[in-house]
Amino acid sequence: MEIYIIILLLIILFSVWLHHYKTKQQKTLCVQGLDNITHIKLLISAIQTHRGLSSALLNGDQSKQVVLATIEQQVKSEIKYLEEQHTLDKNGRWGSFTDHWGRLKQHDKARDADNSFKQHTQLIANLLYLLEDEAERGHLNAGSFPKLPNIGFVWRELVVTTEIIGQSRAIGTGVATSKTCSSVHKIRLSFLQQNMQKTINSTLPKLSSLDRFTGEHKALLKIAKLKMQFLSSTIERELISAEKISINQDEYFALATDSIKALDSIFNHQIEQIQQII
Amino acid sequence: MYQLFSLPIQKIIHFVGFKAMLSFYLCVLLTIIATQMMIVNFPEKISTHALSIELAILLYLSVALVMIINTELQSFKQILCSLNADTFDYRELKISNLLPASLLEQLTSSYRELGRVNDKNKDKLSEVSYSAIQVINTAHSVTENVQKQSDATNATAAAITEMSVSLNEVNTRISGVHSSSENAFNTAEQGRLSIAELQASLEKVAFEAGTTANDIELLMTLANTVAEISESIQGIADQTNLLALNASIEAARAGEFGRGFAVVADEVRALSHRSYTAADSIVKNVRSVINQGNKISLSMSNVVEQSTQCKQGADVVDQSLQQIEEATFDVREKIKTVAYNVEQQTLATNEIAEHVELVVQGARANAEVAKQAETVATHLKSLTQIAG
Repeated sequence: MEIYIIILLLIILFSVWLHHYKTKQQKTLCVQGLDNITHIKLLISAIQTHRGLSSALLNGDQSKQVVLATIEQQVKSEIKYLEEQHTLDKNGRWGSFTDHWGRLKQHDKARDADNSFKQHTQLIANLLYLLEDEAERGHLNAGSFPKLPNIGFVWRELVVTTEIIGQSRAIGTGVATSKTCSSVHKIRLSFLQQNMQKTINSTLPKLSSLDRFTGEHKALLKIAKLKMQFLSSTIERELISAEKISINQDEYFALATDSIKALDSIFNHQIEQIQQII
Repeated sequence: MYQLFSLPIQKIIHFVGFKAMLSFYLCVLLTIIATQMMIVNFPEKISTHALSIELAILLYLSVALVMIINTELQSFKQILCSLNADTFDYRELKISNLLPASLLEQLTSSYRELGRVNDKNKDKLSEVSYSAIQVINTAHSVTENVQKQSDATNATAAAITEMSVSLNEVNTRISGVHSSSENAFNTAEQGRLSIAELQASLEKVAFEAGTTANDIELLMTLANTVAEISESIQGIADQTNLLALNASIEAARAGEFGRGFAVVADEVRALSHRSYTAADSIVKNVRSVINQGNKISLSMSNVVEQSTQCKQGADVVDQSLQQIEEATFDVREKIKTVAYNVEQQTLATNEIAEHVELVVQGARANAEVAKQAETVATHLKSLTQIAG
């Protein structure tokens, strides 16, 4: 009989240890995933900036060459950091990204503005998927964080919204530099502007927060909404409907960057909340 | 039944994981085998109830696991059945972690990729749909613009037709002006000929008047000569009268003897008196003649002067007529050029009218093309809506 009691005790002890091990492993995975996501997000922001500046450069603003070199350096250090982690090696998207970036960086100045935009956008789309994959791999989902039921929106809709603004920043900067807005650019800008409005009305209100972060969360949402609305009206007034484009490319770039930063603040705030939970 | 079997085991699985639970199940199985072997080989060392307890645990675990697996499969089937092909969002998958994590991860990963393909297609369709709407709007604007262009071209064609009619009118008027200028030229030429004749007549008049003035001057000289001769005759008559008076005196002295001589002397005196009177009369008449001659001479001078002035006037008129002739010639030549230009303009307007007609046809064709484009874009939009 004693043997059964000993076995039962051993089983209970083993289960407790196993549970503890699994929880620790899960936490490590979450922390690692969160760290990777933070760096992938920085990488996305850097490539979005690179796209906007390349657009200005290829439309005739030679002053952007120095800033582009700085951004390339930033991208390089982010890639180096993520490669050193060896956690993204299994994901084919990462290999695809590093290969594509290497080719894009080498020949970007020889491309036309449209092609450069397409290449950058493809690169960013790949990174957006990678970010979401990494979130899933780290179990950074509503299942793991019941207090943040819409955490999935942060890894997809929120970063996609940043990308929408990033695209409108790149196209708009090119348009503001060349002072001409083709019908295709008008349609693209108008479409992105429409998507921006959709995000303001549907995605942003869906983002959830922990109770003690609600005030700050609402304030950040309000700021982002105001900035996006201002950017949207500027796109309409200064680029789509304007008979003569007078807005300065740097002014427009700064305005769009402001909106992106407002969304990045929401993103960082969400990360902060997850870190609190972990 | 469910709460008795499934719930506790579910809790354990949640706590340690499915694999650990399976391992535990296998352990129980192995323990039963070991117990059985112990009972067979060493029956005195083990209680006979042990196997029964172990078998009861195994049975409990087996029933519980079967129930859990069955529930999980039902739940999984339910999830697969309730998949929304339109939204296709992997985040909506609410799968418990009872099943092995790697299997679920692989499933969600595949589902995520499918969702991405779906989202990408939806995004593309959304953009195509939006672009199609823009194309529809653009095509609609093009149709309106083409219609306006067509209206404007029709108005232009009408204006050109009116212009053509006006040009014909101008052409007719120019022909009239041309013939009028030709008449004016001919009349000026005729006038110049008449003026030339007048100039010749005036020259003749001046010449004749000059000749007459010279003749009158000669006549005046002769009249003066006659007057001088008459004055000489008057002197002779005076001398004769004086001689006759002396003869009368001498006749008186001679008395009777001189009576006859006195008669002769008286007669001579009467004769000299008559000669004197006649000569006086001649002088007076000659002076009248000279006065008249002077008047005529003056008149002739006036005639010469007037005829000279007339000639000068005629010269001026001739010059004016010459200028008129030159001007009308110039006008005639210019009108010829204008007429030629008008003719060319008429040809050009006719050609423009033909081209405008072609433009109108082109505009109509463009309107048709724009309508077609609008129809195609609408069709495209409807396709994207069906697909979306």
